Amino acid sequence: MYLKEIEIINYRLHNSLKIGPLAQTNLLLGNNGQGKSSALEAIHLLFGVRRAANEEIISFGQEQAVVRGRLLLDNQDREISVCVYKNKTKTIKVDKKEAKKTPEKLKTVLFNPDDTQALKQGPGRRRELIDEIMGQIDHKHTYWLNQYNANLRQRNALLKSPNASHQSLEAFSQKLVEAAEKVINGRLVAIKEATPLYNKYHQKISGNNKRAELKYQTSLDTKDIKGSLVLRLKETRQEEAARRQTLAGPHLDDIIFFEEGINIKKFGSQGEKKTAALSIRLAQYELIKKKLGAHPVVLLDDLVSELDAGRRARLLGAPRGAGQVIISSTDEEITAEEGDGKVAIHRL
Amino acid sequence: MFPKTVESLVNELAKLPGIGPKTAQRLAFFLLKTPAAEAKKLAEAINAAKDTVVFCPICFNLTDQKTCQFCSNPERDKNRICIVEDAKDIIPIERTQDYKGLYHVLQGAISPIDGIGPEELRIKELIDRLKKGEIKEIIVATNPNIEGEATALYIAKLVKPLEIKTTRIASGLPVGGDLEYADEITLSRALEGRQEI
Ligand SMILES: [Zn+2]
Repeated sequence: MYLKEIEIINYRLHNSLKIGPLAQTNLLLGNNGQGKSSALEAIHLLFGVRRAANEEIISFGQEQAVVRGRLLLDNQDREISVCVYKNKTKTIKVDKKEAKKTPEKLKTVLFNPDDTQALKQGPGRRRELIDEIMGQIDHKHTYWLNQYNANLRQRNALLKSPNASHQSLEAFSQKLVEAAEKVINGRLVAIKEATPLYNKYHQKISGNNKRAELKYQTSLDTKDIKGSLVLRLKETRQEEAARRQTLAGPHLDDIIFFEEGINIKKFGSQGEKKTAALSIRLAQYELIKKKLGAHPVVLLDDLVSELDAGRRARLLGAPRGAGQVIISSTDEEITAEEGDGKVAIHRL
Repeated sequence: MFPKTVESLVNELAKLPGIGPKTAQRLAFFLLKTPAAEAKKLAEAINAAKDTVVFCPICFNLTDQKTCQFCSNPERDKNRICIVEDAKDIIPIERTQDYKGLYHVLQGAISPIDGIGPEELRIKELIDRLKKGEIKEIIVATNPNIEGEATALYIAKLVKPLEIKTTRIASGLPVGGDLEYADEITLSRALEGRQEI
């Protein structure tokens, strides 16, 4: 997979932006506020990942935003376009014909300075991260996650309604439990596969031998997810009725990042958190590569400039290989340092 | 921008399911361009349907008679009821020509988010029908989405003490979920389900 050109229309502050022709390594240069991040976000959308609501994405006064990419896929020229509309719908076109989803091989990893927040905030961001990774290596995970969330919304609405009967609650619980098992098992697979890679990159970036690992934290028994969730729902019935929400399930679980047995979220320094965030993205990169047998496109959002030269070189060296990279930065210096002669500069 | 009458026509059309403001505008201008007699026919058809079509008092299907075509047909198997969400769901089942029983139209599915509980549906009427004793089997053909599945489970639990055979139509197509994943999911569900048969 090789991206040749990207066109962004009515996406946030970009009314019409063309980036290309793209090279192996690309530098997207612009001052702050010129829309580097939103350009990368738009490219991310081309790969099927939507990080914001449609109304936020679409430029003021417009009805739709379009991201179009011309690329080489299996040695064939293809054109993919993703269009999002104000009414919350989305259409995907492959070679101008409507398609149900973007091609399987179109995968990307976005490195974002914001990722460090996943190591600082509540468990929501860490679940999102692991769900994104699992969704990319097995899209059935996204299906079950959507099923679980839809069931959860209905069940919570029921708990808030004044005449929620025992039978109605049971009806929504049964499907919730089925989807919960799939979601948790998916996350366990993602963690199991990501952990050795995470450890590898963690050691590479930090330059030490400390053992880094990921662990899934849940109140349920992972050997009997269904059984233990059914039991927990029974036990919390009274409390659920009082607090009017579902009090057990994968929507409350967490992913703990450890370094030598120490929880980085709680005890890690700012630098250690940054290293953890980078390492998990690199693990994601390699998992996708293993799954696809090809390199995903790497998007680096204004983050290389944050790192010291040593970390930067180690980071950029890791995913380079044969993969395509798009880096956004205010800093032109980077090219001289990291460039291998094939860097294309795109000014915003 | 347009005369008030045109605007109100657009507004009324936009209330129809699946019709956005732009389509409503297009339909309104189409209607304005058609000959008066044609447009009148549409208006009259709507009026006539609204005036004569009622819900069947037994199964809540649509009818312009006292009871619907299925309930009044002596050829239909009176021992079986197929439960659907909407009257329109009867059409694909009839098309299979495999089903000769009766129907029961719930008029929706349980959806707490939309404030629809079992009381808002024709579930009580269904149980009353079942208690009369003639029914030997019910086939729950609610949609295979979250709401339809929950409604099916709810009904199955209510019916259990009556000891009537209850089956769920096998479909596996996740209508409410992401349709884009349907193929694989359908396949994997079909594989999972094969032991149960
Ligand atoms: Zn009837």
